Amino acid sequence: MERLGFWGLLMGSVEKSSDSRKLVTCSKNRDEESSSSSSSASPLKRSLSRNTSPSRQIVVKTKPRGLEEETVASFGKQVVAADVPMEESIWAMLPEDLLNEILARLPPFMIFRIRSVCKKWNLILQDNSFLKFHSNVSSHGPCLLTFWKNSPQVPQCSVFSLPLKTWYKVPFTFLPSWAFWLVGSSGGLVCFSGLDGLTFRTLVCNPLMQSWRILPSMHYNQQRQLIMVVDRSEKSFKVIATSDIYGDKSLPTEVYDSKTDKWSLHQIMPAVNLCSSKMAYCDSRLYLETLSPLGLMMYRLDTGQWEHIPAKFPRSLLDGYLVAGTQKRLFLVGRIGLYSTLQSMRIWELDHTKVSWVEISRMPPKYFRALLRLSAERFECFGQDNLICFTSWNQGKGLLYNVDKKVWSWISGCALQSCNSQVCFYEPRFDASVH
Amino acid sequence: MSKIIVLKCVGHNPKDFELDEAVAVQFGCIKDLFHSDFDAESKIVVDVPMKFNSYIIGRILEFCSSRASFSSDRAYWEQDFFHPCREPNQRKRKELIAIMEASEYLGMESLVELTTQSLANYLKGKNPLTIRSLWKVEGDLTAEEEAKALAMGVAKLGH
Repeated sequence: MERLGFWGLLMGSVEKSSDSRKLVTCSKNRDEESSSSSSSASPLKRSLSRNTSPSRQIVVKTKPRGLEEETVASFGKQVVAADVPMEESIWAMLPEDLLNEILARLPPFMIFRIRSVCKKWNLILQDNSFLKFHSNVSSHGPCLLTFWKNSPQVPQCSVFSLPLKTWYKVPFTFLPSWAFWLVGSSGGLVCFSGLDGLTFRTLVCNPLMQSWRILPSMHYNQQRQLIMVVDRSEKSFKVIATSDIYGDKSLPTEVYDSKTDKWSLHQIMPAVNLCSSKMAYCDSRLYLETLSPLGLMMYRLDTGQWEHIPAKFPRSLLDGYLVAGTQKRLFLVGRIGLYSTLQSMRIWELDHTKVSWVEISRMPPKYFRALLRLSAERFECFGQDNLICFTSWNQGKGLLYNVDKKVWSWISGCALQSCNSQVCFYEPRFDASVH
Repeated sequence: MSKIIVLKCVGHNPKDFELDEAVAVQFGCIKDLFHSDFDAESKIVVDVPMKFNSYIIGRILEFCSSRASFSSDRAYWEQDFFHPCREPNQRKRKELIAIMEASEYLGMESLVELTTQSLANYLKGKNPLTIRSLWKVEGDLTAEEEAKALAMGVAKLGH
């Protein structure tokens, strides 16, 4: 296991044998562990765990770190292909369009590696129309993108594919040294911001294609709360800059449109917003949590105007992350309860007609205890497509809530160990253009 | 008043398959025939190329009729061809490829998707050397081209 800067990264691939994972048990895990193997383990894992000597003291080697609970997130069927020799030249004889169909269903990060198989594949896999075709064929499941800076300030990026339970290292040598904050990701593009001397700059890139572009400067040179949204049907993206991060300057909202390559000025937000984790974009509207007036401020991209939504926050709400779901769904996530023993993590959904928050789920206590040992522990919360992710840096774990299926599960094979990294959901796409 | 479509398979084991409308509409190349100006009682014969034998066509029709009755066919098919715990079966793999080619010819998008996804699953997680040796593809890139191809883009951690 190679340590990269602050990180200890674990290859959680299903194909790996149990010996490669030499894991150390946290003393806290022992009491939650049962001697019977987890019900969700695949047949392969179950047979392996039977062979190891049963002992309550030592962690069974096949279990990835942190997996003391039953449910592990799964994304579609994960079948492991045996290394079976095929007939002679079966691939050479396949018609070109069928070969394209097969290659288009490979995970995006694999495409680069298999370019070196042969000349024919090298040509196909670089062809723009193939890459576009690949992007339009099935989704390859949610990915997490993590960004941090090594000492001395070398940018590092890794992408974790949830369905494949694999980490991929993404070279980020192209990133300028001023890029410091991960703004977010949308439609295959990733946005960064930072201070280049005294100038606040933004940058957009496609990590898969290693393409990038620095956006023109805003009208007002201030560090701002930003959000980036991609419109795939229009093949364009927008970056919305709301208030400055300290909340003390009243600046006009600025919107960058990739179609015009310009920033435009709009209404000043008539409120003070809290911070960027309390911002979410869905249905062409940007929602922010504000203190005064209390509630949400909603920005409409089509009109360029702000509107106050007086949705009262739940009482004793401690955190209050805003997460956008699919279509018009908006979620509020946070802890309730001032005293650590009585705390619970809850999720609310905004009822747009009644203008109120409706509780839709509560994190089961066992997950809550596993995620946050201490009440003062920090955690991050973000989401996309009705998946809400919780990461706890101290525990090095990722917890996922599927709003549609109402399922809580750990993200297995993903050991996160840093309080200096920034994470977001990411969708690797070949056809996401920075222009 | 229904039309009958007959798939005529020649070759090793010649057989004629009669299709009813529910099954026939799933074939991209045939469904248009239902909307053409043929006499309602007529029987339309479609000659299937020789390389698609009757067994393969039979398997495809099996998929269609189960699909037509909305059963959970996909899981069954995936299990049949591609099960991690079963012994690798050469005949099954050949069958899978034959079905893929035939369904592409007949315009069955859903089956093409299923079969190509199964074959893509074969390739997942394998490195180029393994792919070359297992599937008899000749590595004809020059050392320079290969280095260039590998240098581009991302690397799987741990490799």
